[in-house]
Amino acid sequence: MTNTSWENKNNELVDVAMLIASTVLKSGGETYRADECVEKILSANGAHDVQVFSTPTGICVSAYFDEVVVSRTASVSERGVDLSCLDECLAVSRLLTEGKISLGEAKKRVLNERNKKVNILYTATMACICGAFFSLIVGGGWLEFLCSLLSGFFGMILYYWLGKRNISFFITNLSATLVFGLIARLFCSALPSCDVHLSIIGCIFPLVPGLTTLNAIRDSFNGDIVSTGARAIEAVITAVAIACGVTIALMV
Amino acid sequence: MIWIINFVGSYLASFFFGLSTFVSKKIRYIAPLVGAVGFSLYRLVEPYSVNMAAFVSTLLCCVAAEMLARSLKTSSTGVTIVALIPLVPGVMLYKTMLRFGEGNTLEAIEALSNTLMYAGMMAIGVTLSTLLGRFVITPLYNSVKKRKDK
Repeated sequence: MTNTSWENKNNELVDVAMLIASTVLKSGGETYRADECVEKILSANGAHDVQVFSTPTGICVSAYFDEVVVSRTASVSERGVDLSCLDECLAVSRLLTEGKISLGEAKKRVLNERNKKVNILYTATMACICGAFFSLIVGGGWLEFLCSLLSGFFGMILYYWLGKRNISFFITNLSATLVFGLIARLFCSALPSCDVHLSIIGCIFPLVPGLTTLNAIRDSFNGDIVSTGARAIEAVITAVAIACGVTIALMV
Repeated sequence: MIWIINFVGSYLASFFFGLSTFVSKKIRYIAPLVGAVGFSLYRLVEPYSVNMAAFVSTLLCCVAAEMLARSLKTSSTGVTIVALIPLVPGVMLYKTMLRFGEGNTLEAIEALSNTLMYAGMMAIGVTLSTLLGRFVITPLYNSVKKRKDK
């Protein structure tokens, strides 16, 4: 192998590892999983002294190939939960580590999953049905279920539509919860036996940062202080946005 | 009746949450079942201690997720996220922020400390299950696999 092709192969390897790690972070994976992916892929393919520093908002990697160091930085600006994408990334990472897949194929598989088209109507419908069942298990009846379903549908459509246009997550959460609150209040004023709080709790369930709070505390147990801080701040800002939206809707 | 509503409601809530987050087909039906069992356990222990209920049910869900991940050859994160969704302290966070919004600062701080305690107990459950997965479940699966290969 010539020197240039050797360097190109190493560069491509680090690029693919970074792509996988940033997709793991983008899809809602833990930071330690992104670290593990990069370390295992690079170590299994001839790198040594692999250093990875990842936070929920970005990732830095440096690795030695003989005496040559290759380093990369990637920013992760969008974050959400996409479990099929996460699953695919972890599977590709495992195959790359075992040497059962080529770099080109790995990149193609991850990019296919990462760039898949999301149907807002489908996602919003599923999320609002999920919210409606939550209103049942927190003590609501069928009226609250119906109210959650209706207000959740419009709120979630707005949430995903704004999210697709890269509007800040504070505004996205605020607007969606404002819509939840307003529609729920309208519904409950038409049917006074319906409890507005239980209906709103159901709607906002898919949005509340319960998992983010949990991950923040879990990261702190793992000693990942930077990630803890980032996730805790994200959880607080999301909770404030939701509270602002609901409070404004209840005050109107 | 309330138990049936809790079980079926949490199963369907987790199932549709899974669909909205594009969960893989392998775990589409089984992960919500783990969540429903975990939530029923939570409701069972809740009258004694809310925090203990959170810990026990999270531990059950996460250990089940670790075992499922190994038998179905998938990541435990997917199962954990779907199974834990009925348990996450969403209502507590909502109430905390609502108290802040209403200006009831003292009640809000109390609710916040309760939420953090609850989330902390859940996090202990998740961390403990990861350790169990690494040091107990994986070696156990490997030894079973070796015996089968022989």
